[in-house]
Amino acid sequence: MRVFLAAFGVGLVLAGATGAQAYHRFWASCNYDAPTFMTTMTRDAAQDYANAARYEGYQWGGGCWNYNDVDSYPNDEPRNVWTHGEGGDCSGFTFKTWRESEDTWRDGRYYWRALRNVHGPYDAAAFRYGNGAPNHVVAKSTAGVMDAFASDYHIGMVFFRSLYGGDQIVEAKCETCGTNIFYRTYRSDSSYGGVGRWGWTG
Amino acid sequence: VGLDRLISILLVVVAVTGCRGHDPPDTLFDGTRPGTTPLFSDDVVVSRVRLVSSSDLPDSLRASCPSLRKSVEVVQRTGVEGGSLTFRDPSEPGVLACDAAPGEYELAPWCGVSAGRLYSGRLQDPRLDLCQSRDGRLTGFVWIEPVRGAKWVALDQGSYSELYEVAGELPVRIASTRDVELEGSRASFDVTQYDGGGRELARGTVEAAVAG
Repeated sequence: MRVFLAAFGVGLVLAGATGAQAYHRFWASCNYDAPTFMTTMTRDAAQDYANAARYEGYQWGGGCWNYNDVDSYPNDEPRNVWTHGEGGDCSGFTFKTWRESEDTWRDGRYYWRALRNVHGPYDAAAFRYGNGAPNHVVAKSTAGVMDAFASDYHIGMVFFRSLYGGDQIVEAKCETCGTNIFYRTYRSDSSYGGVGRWGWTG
Repeated sequence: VGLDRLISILLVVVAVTGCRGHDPPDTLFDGTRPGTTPLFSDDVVVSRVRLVSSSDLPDSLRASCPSLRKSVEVVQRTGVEGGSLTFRDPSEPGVLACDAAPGEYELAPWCGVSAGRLYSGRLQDPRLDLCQSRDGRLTGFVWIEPVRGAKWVALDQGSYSELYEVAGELPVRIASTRDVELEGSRASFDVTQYDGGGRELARGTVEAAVAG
C-alpha cells in the first residue's frame, strides 16, 4: 500500500509538471499590467510597433511577445488557444498595434507593452464590420498606412502601399508563417474590406 | 402587535421575492414567452428556434447582418440572454453568425458578428463573440457542435438550464452572461447534450477565448 501511495504521489507530481509545461509555456513570462493611456497615436509609431513584432511568432488567441526575433514556440497545433505560445494572432496583433481598449465603447488610445498578454474583444470579423467604438469601415481604395484589410477570417495592416496592385501587409498570419510583412493582394480581393482606426494624431 | 404583523408580512414578502429570484425566467430576451417540451423538469427554459429563408426575414434584420444574402437558409434563435442568426458561408466552408443581446450601446439589431471555418465539416474553435453594453453587461456567444444523435443542447445558466434545439445541420449558437470575462476575452459554458428522448449523450465545459 505504501509503495502504491508513493508511486501515486510521484505520478501526480509528474502529471502536474507535464500540464504546466503544456499549458503555461511562453505565457508564463507574460504580464497583466495595465495599459498606458496615451494622448497621441501616430501611424509612424504604429509601424514601428508592428515592425518590432516581426519574427516573434503566432499564437491563436494570443497577444504576448518579446523582442528577440525568434518564435519561442513555433509550429504549435493550429487554432488551439491553449498552447500558450509566443505571438499574437491577426486580430490580437491589430488590437495591440491600434492601441485599443478591452472596453468596446472606449475609443481612447491605450499602449500595451509587448509582454502584456492581451488579445482584446475583437476577432477578424468584428474588425471587418467596424465593430467597437475605435473601429470603422473605410473604402479599400483609400486605405493607407496602418489602416487594415479584413475578411471574416483574417486581418492585416497596410505597412506600405505598393504601386503594383498589392500592398506590403504586416500581419500575424499563421503558426508556420508567423508574424511578418508580406506582399498581399487583399485590396483587390472581394472577400476583404477596408478597416480603419479612429483617432490617429499624425 | 401591528408592528410585529407588519414585520411578519415583510419577511414573507422578502422570502417569496427571494424564492422567485431563483425561478427560471418566464420570458426570452426579446420579451416573448419561451417554448415548452415535456421531456425535462420545470427548471428549464426552452429557447425558440426557427429555420427560415433569409428572404423571409424582415429587411431590418437581413440587411444589417453582414454577409447574409437573399435565399439563404438561416437558423434564427431567440434565447434568454440573446439571439442569433446562423448560416453557411456561401464563399467557403464556414459558418457565419449575427448576434443580438440587450444593451444600450450595441448596434441594433446586431451587437456582433462571428465567423468560423469548417475543417472536415466541423469547427475547431467555438468562435466566442463578446457583446458589451455601456452599463457593463457582457454577453458571450459560442457555437456548440452537436454530437451524433443530439436533439437538444442544454446550457447551465445557474438556477436553471436553457435548452436549445438542434436545427438545420448547423452548430448551435448559445448565449450566456455567466462566466464571461472581459479580461482575457474569454468565457466558459457548461453544456449537456440530449437525444430526442431526453437521454444524456455528452456533458462538458466549453472554454472559449476570442481568437483569429
